[in-house]
Amino acid sequence: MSSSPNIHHRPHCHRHRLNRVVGCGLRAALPVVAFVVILASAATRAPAHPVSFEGATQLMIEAGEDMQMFELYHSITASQAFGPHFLRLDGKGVERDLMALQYNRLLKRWNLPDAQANIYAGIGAGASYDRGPDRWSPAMVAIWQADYETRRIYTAYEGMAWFGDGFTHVGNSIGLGVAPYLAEFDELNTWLLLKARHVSEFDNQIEVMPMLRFFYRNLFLEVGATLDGNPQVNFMIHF
Amino acid sequence: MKQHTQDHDQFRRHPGNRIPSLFRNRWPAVPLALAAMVLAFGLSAGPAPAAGSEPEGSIRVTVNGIVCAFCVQGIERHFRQRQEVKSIFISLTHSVLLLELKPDRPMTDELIAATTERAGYDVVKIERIETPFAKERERLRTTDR
Repeated sequence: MSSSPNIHHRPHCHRHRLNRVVGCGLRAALPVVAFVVILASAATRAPAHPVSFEGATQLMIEAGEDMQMFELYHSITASQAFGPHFLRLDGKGVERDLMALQYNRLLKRWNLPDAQANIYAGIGAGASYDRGPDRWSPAMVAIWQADYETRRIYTAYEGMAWFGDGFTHVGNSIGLGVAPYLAEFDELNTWLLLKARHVSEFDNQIEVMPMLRFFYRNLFLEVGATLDGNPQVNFMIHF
Repeated sequence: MKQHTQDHDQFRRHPGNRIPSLFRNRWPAVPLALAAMVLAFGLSAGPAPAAGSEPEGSIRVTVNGIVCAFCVQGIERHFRQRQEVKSIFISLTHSVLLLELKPDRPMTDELIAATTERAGYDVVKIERIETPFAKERERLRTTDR
């Protein structure tokens, strides 16, 4: 008469898709796991590769309290893209608009059975506009990015440098994201993220942003906030 | 007979048994509308394959690197643009791209590989299987690797 409830309950438990993914016991602990993951991880704009697939045009918008970015890239091949890049710094003593026409290149991609890794770089030329003294000057931008992702985790490092007359803004961000469940191609994908970012000659401090990321088909949305409570919204679409 | 007619009139006069004004004198249109809806649904669902015309098999393409649903949109886009392709399904779980071609529209392995590479991914294996597209898609949807 020795009965094992686990044996009897397991088939029923595993009928639930989430249970098959994370295990029956873990399902109950998901909220705690999610909270720990948010605290312990850091992430950047995961699929925000500066080069997309051949023929694609992608619009990327980042909106924070003191920094907004707008990028529109057209991929002429799967490894080359170009388009305008705007960055607006507003606050912390800096009121500057930066704009450039940028060329991005996928330097190396590793397509692995259950993972993908990429290295990107880009360079652009344009102008900067200081709103205080009402002054225009030439500017240049360079970006570099490396990432490694599976369906479960994402790690990335992104760098960006703007050079102009009397300033150099170098931004670095690192991150790790975790998908709480494995979504398919045509399902809503959800990620838990925490992004850590530093921009020299601007905030001069590391900003940490817990974020939630959703993407479905060609739409991508990230919402979160800095630890100071400043909201951050990132949006992307490719068409 | 007269009693029957009286009963019927009495039945119609009762407020609860009146035909709503919207349908009064139009009620014969109701079954016609229902028939039209059934017909429209049937047409939108597509014609059922006639006996003896079994759908062709499908092509199962194993692709490395398809881990991000947002990024692999390019694969779907490029294959949908091909005139040869009737249907496409992508399974991240199985790292598989499943294709159904139109009749008399062959697609070589080289073209499949080139189309996949234009989206930025590498083909590992191309298998032409006898299993119909819908059946194989269902299998990919419901099974783990």
